Amino acid sequence: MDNFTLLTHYAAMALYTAAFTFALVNLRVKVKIIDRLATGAALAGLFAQVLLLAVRWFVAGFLPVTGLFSTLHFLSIFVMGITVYFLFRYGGKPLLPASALLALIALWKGGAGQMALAPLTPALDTPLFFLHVATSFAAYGLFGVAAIVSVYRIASLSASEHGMERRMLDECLYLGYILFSWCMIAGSLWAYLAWGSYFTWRLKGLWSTILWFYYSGVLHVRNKPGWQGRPLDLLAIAGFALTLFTFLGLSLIFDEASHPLK
Amino acid sequence: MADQFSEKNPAARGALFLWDLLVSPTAFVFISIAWCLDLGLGSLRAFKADPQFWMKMDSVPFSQWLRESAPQLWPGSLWVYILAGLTWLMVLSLLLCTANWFFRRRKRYRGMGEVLVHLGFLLVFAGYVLGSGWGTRVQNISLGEGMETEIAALGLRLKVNDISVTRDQRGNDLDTASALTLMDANGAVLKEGTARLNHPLINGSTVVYPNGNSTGARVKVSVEGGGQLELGQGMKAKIRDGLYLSIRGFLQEGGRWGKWVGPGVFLTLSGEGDKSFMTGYLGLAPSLRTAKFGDDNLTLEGISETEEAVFSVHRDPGIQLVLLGALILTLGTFWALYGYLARTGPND
Repeated sequence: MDNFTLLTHYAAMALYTAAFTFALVNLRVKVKIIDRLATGAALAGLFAQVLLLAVRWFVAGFLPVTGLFSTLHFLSIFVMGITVYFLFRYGGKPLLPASALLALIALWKGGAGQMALAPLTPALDTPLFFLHVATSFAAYGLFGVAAIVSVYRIASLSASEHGMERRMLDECLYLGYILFSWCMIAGSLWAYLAWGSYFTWRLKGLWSTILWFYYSGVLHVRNKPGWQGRPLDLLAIAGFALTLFTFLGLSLIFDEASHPLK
Repeated sequence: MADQFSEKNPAARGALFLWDLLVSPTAFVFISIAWCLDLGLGSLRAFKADPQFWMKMDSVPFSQWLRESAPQLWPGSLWVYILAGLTWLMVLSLLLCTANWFFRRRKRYRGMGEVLVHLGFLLVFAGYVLGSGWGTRVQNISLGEGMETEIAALGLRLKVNDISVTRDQRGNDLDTASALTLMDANGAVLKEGTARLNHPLINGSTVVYPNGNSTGARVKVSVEGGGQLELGQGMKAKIRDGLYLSIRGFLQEGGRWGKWVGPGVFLTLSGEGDKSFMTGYLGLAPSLRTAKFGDDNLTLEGISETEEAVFSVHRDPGIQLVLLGALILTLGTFWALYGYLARTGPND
């Protein structure tokens, strides 16, 4: 299992590196075969990741989303998954280099975590935990792609061959917010059953609430005339920075007591 | 008609302007930005000042913390007061925005998902206010098998019938499952069941959840002419009407405290309402085995080590509202998602 995990992990990284390189070259030279290679590598990388997730799920008997390795794999699956969806739905090929790079960074960082499947501790043995983690990383992936689309918009680069950047941004923010709401609800219910309180004053929970309220605000203004264009793009980019700080920054800076589990 | 009236009436025009300002999403956004900044910076500052800050805050309902602990931390707790004020403002904005949708903007079911999300959040907030104002939290109740204790703050009694500890291959504790009986102050059974990680014993708004396990000691004491008593840490045993015995502390084998030598136990004799009369010592050494506690001669029959389960008991009168709010909020997100997908379908 460990060998398979290692092999598939590096295969996904290699494929995303290829997708990144081909997609970047294609932005300049626009050659059909390079374009197909980029798309093919991205699809193959995504397939490798989904296969890895499925096999680990089957072997472990639970959705493996515990630990840095598994969660960052999950994040990159969603980053690439939504990018592939945009690619076919909105002609979002120009997004590919940036998304592949983000997925690659996530996998590289995830590689530093424990790859071996650890048995599930009773504290995590609840469907609410899986719902909580899976929806949060799905949301993080969507917020990440929203930030990428916004960077393109600010840099006046086309993120969609059909001019659908605004729609893509909206979709990422809206669906990401809904998924994050489910994450908050599942997390609160889990906390109530595990610690007798659905709201704890721990840093991770507080900053997750901040993130939820932040994106609530973004959703409230996303269709208001005064907030269109650059303000909305800046909000999406700042939102992803906030996401990264909540997910990674807090754990790195304030390891102790940042989450009720610690 | 109302618009014509407001055009002519400056007071009505002003009221309408104020209403529009309060219900505007932009107002909500500015309040939520201030809320996020206050909570973000305040929480980091508080954590740096005292990493145990959150434990203390979580151990009591929020209103109690605000009333008892926050004044002692002043001005370090200023951000919490500001947070509370901003939260009420945000809730007001949401409330008015929701009312505005019902009375002024409603067009059939469009936007209903978002309104349900608002309503759900408002219910969760109402539940939180109830829970933080009228809730009670009692933590770290340690009980061994067969032990029973009174939880005076909640008017309850808790009895542990059985304890089963799950350990990993290295002997680390993973989970403690306890068969419990929750009773009212008079001993009438309210609920029986097993509490383990993620599966607390819930009785209405009261939740008994496990907090791991610890090693405790159990003491057997005989009262001359009055039978035998069994005592655990944190327990009170009745000697006779109005007189109770409880454990103050232990002396391990080889330990000394003044003239007392271990192994032995310090016992406190108290009356109703925790009024303490005296503390004495009983040891396993023959000369220390029997002592007079008030009018009674007590003899130590034995001390044994026990495995104890640790519990916290929370009562949250707002929990039903919170759960209903969470359900409505979830329904709202599904409704909003359905509406979004319908609006942006494949042919769109």
